[in-house]
Amino acid sequence: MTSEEIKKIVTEKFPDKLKEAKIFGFEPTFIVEKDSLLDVCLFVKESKELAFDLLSCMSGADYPDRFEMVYLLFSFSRKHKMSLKVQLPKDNPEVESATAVWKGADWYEREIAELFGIKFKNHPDLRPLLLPEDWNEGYPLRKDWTGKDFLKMPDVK
Amino acid sequence: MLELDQLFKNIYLWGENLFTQWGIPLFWLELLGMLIVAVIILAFMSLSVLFLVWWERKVSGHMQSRFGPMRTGWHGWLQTIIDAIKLILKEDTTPGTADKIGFLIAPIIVFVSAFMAYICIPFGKGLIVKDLNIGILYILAITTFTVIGLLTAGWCSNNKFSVLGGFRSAAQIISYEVPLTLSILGVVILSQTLSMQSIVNSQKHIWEWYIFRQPIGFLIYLVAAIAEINRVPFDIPEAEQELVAGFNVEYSGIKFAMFFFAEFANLFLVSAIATTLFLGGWNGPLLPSWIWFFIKSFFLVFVIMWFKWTFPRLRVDQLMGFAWKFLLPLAFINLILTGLFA
Amino acid sequence: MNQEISEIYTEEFFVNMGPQHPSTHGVLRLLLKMDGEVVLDMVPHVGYLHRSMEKIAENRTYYQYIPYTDRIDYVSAMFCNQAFCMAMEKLANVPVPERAEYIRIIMVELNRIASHLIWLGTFSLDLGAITPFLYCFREREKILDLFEMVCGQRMTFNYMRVGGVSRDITPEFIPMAKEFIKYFLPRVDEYEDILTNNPIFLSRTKGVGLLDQKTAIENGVTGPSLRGTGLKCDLRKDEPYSVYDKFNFDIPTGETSDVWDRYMVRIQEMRESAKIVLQALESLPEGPIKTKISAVFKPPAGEVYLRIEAPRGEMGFYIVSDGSPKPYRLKIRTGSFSNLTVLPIISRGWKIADVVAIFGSLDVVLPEVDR
Repeated sequence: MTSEEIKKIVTEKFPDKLKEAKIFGFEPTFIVEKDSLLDVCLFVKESKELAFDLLSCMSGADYPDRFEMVYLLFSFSRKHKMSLKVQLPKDNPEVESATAVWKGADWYEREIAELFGIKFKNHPDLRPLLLPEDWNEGYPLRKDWTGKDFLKMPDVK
Repeated sequence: MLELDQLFKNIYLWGENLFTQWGIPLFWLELLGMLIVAVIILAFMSLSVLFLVWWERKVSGHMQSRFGPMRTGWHGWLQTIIDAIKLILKEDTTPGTADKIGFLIAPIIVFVSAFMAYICIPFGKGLIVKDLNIGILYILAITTFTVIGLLTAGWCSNNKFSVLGGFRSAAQIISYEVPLTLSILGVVILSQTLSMQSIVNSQKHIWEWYIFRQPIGFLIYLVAAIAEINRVPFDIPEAEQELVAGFNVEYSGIKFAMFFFAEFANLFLVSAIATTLFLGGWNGPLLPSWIWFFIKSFFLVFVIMWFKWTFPRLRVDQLMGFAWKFLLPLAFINLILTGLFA
Repeated sequence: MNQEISEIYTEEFFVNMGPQHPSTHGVLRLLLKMDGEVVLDMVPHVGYLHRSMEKIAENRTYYQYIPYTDRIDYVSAMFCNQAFCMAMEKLANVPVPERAEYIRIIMVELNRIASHLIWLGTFSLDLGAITPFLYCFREREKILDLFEMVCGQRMTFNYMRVGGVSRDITPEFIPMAKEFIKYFLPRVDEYEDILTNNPIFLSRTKGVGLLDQKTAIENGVTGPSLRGTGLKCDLRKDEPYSVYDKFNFDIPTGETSDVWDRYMVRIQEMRESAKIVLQALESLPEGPIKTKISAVFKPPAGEVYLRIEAPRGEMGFYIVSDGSPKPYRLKIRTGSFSNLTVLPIISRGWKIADVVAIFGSLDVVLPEVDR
């Protein structure tokens, strides 16, 4: 299925819940409202035409004004791909866990939770994954993070 | 000829003369003789273990398209001696939570049971420490003590991996003891004796060798014996990739060396028993009897090594299933057939 | 009698398998809840090799980061190189000359063989067969010689560049590589002789560690482990990148999705990779090996997610660029990371020896998990 067709199906189903639908990155990309994320995820996974069964990758990003979660999806049966995005506020970023839809989100969310400090509601087990158990120096992948051994490289022109 | 039995007999006679000359009771000569024999056996065991370790490394090396030890001496013949010295000099640590007494006793039990079994091995014509009339039964009984040592080692190390290893070895050795004994019984029925020398004497010619009259028995013996001495493909008690090193995971230094020593001593032991029971023992043309014995034994050792470097390892339940569901019925059938046609 | 048995007190116990354990392939800690020999539950603890690759990326220019990608998965470093360079090419729309694409494919497919050889060796070692390990390393040595000839390195290559490769292959390379393939294919048969039909190997692998297709996809398992469940999926065919559409090769799949199937898929893949290398060597075009681009690489602002088929499943780079010479955010998706998540699911109820076999069959490389 082409990007345009996927875009059409998703926008028809959720006309008011998608903030933006434009094509970039892992196209097509939708920016979904925080509250309706699970609904959209469930729909794109369960619907017969879309059938996005693989959560290929999941990542967070720290922008100056927001956090952004990105879900990169692929369908084995249909061989097409898309991505979903959620924008979260800087203070108290919290989002519904996608583990209810794709079990594979488990470890990705644990990683994001400890590196970005984004909370996942209804996650089965949100222990730190990569960092040491006694880590208390904040969230390393945030842009304002400075650890005691962190040395910033000079800017390149 | 190069037969050694006359030599030993002459030494004994010479000693007897000397003792009667000096007026010392012959009891002391017996005692001295026992001590000397014990030392000889120990020296022989050490030498053969040193050689076997080196040989194992060479065999594995050449099977794996490499050389094995090459740097110490001619083709690395000094390697195991150096290793042995290293192991003896190494610090001998005991884990803080271990059961100290059991931890100490375990390697000794394993070592002694291997050592004592050598008494009944006919190395050549007349070359046997004591030709017990229940020789083979004695060997079977004494080697089973190994399991007590391994279980003690596993339990007293107070380590979960070694406990698992100890349990595995207990289950495995006891299970394989049964087909092993049954396969030997076939030979006993045919030779009508339990004495090792008499069994050898009953297979003077090559067509009398029990391997031809008891082929199934021989195979059962070989498989069960490999399991008895915990070697691949039956090395689950120390399965390196699962239990790290199983029962001996906490051992180091001289105690580890004793386990290691006992393992290779047992390797030679089972080959020697197989040679005696199935391959005609020291019987053979031209060459002196003890040379024939070593040729046959070391060939079997080589076969067992060959298995080790070729096969993957069985799982613990498959191992048990193999013993009870396949080897045991087969051994019984073999025994019944032997009894019917003997 | 029954009462007597019930009086015997038994309890489950916990075993820490790792971080230092012979068969955890690196530093992984598996916390096993065991009932005797049977594994009731398992919790993998990772992170012992965490080197903050993603944070480092934000602090380096794109060019400076290429050597770091070698260290993501040092067993198949060419793939990390390729994925990162392709992501940058897609981001900045840099064309790649055809010769460079061919050379890349020769390199990555040789690297796939080398990676699978390491897997085969360690996997058979996990099952207690020691000799195949040495055989695999013997052949891998020859591949590393080929790599050394081209890029001067044996493990961490730093070979690919944005818009091409760093050096052209030497004239001696092609005959040597062809000779290697000719030498290598009979060697695969040799591995099969020693393992595939060995009854002990079969009893250890057949029917063990069943991973059904639904669970696999749910958990994001990709690569040979997923193909072992019978799904014909391979990014080289699904969305042909580079010049894979010009080559003729098959995607081997399994049937029953047990350890043996995953083993068989990888064995077959080695043959297929050899086939691709041979075809690429035959039809290697002449031409430049690198597109000229500016010394400071500044991709336009935007995002890209690019995946390739690495030996351990999809390897992907998600890069957010803000137009500066450094990536704003770089996320590395690796096959091992997702593949490891199914380990607790498929090893429940099996014996500890099977856990070792199952873990081996998933082909997890720990630096790739921890990054």
